[in-house]
Amino acid sequence: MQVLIVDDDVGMRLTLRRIVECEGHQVLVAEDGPGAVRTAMEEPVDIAFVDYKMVGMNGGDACAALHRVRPDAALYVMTAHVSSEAADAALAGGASAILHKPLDVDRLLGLIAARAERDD
Amino acid sequence: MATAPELAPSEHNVVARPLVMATAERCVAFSRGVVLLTALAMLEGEVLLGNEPLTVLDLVVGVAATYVLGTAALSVMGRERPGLQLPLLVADMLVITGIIYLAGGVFSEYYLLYYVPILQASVRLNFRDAIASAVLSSGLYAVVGLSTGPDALIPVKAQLRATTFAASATFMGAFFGLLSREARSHLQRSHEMTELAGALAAKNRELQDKTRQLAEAQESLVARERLAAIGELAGSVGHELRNPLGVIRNAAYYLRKRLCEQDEDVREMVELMDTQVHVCDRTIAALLDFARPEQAVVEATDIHAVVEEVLGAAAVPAGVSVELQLDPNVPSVRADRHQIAEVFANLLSNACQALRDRGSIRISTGVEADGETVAIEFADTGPGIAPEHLDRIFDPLFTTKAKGIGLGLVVCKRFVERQGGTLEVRSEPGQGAVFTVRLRRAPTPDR
Repeated sequence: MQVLIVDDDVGMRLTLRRIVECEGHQVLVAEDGPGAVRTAMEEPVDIAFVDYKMVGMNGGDACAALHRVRPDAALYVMTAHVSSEAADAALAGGASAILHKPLDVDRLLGLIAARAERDD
Repeated sequence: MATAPELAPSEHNVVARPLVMATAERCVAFSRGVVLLTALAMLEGEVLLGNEPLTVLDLVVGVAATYVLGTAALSVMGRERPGLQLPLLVADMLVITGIIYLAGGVFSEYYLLYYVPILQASVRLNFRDAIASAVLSSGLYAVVGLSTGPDALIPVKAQLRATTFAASATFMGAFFGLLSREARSHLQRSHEMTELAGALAAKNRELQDKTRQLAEAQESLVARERLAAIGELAGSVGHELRNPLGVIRNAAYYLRKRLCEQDEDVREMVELMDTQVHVCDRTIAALLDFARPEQAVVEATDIHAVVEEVLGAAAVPAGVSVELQLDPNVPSVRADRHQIAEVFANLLSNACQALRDRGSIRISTGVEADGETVAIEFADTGPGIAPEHLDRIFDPLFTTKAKGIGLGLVVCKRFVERQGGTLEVRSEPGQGAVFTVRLRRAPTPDR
């Protein structure tokens, strides 16, 4: 499984990377939307977790761009607080769900596991 | 802010006017009695006794009887009708003329009685009527003069006397007429002043009320604006704190995975971190709910499922027992499931804190008498809420807890009200507290 973590916070990238790697998955990281799209063009991505609030391109738009590059990837937006309009826009752009911060890590791992099971 | 001085109407003026009028009426009744009695006595003397003069006793008895009769008549009649005053005065003058005629004509001293109706007219009627009375009495006196004398010849002395009287009567009527007009207008003015002072005092009270209302409105506006600003700031800070909190929670998760199995102390510390992150997150959630409330998604919600879900997730202390009295007939309600769960979690957590780890909580549901409202009660056996706190319990930033920012119940109330419901509290010190959420039942397809 190739998991892409997109977050402008280095701590968030590092902790999520370690946790997901512990489960035996490959982790790719990017610190913004354009970086995420570049990574997705270079490497296959099965599932991506994208922070909503980022400089330049927000998580909703980043998901929409990733969806065009990797239409099969499952995309999740992570956010501390988001208006319902923004959440709707993100879901319309290709995101499967909105995950609230602080993250429920078990749920995140559950989503990855479910995806892995489906791919198998 | 300066306030206008309190003005009270002068009670002196209000009482003075009726008192003056009553006294004047008494005097009139008295004088009229004197005139009538004199006329009767004269008539009696002329017809029955020949020209025998009156004794002092006759006069004293007559005056006393007149006073008593006049006063009694006045008290029965109440106030004399204004339209009758002038005809009565004319009648008085005719009677006086009769007296003068009977008492020996123009040379009788009874002509002085004419001054009584003239004075009455001056005091009780107006200036014009006073002059008219003077002219009329002069005319009547002249008529008496004309009929005086055995050979219908008018002596010069009688002419002189009649003319002198006419002049003095007119002067007197004019003088007292003017005087009483002055007095009346003064009375009128003072009455108007009294009324004006009363009106001014009423306006003043109104102004003070308005000023107070304005001050209250301003205070509430300032408080609301300050609260909005605090909310906005707190919301932003809360939002920014969520990211580092998330990192801490992730790090704790990782540490638990890697180290906990090897070391019990590490596990304890990591769990502590997790719990504290959760506490921080609850506070931030309250701030964000307060600062940027989300739109309620109202749908038919099974309230019992929400209660059980909240109870399952809540950290109820070991010494606290929770008793459920869920009415199976309760229908689905109109509610935002997420928000109402937050309300229940908050009420449950408050109850646990009030019990200080010991006591019981009863959660009961039921349909109200109207059949449209579902009530959900959270009752605890804690110390209750002090009466002075009860009114302020839903005020933003009001808290009696050592930990807490005073937004939990505010947000709960907002959530419930946004879904068309109400949140109420009742409590007596020492008797615990009962929070009641009332929500409307969801419309059913067959209804």
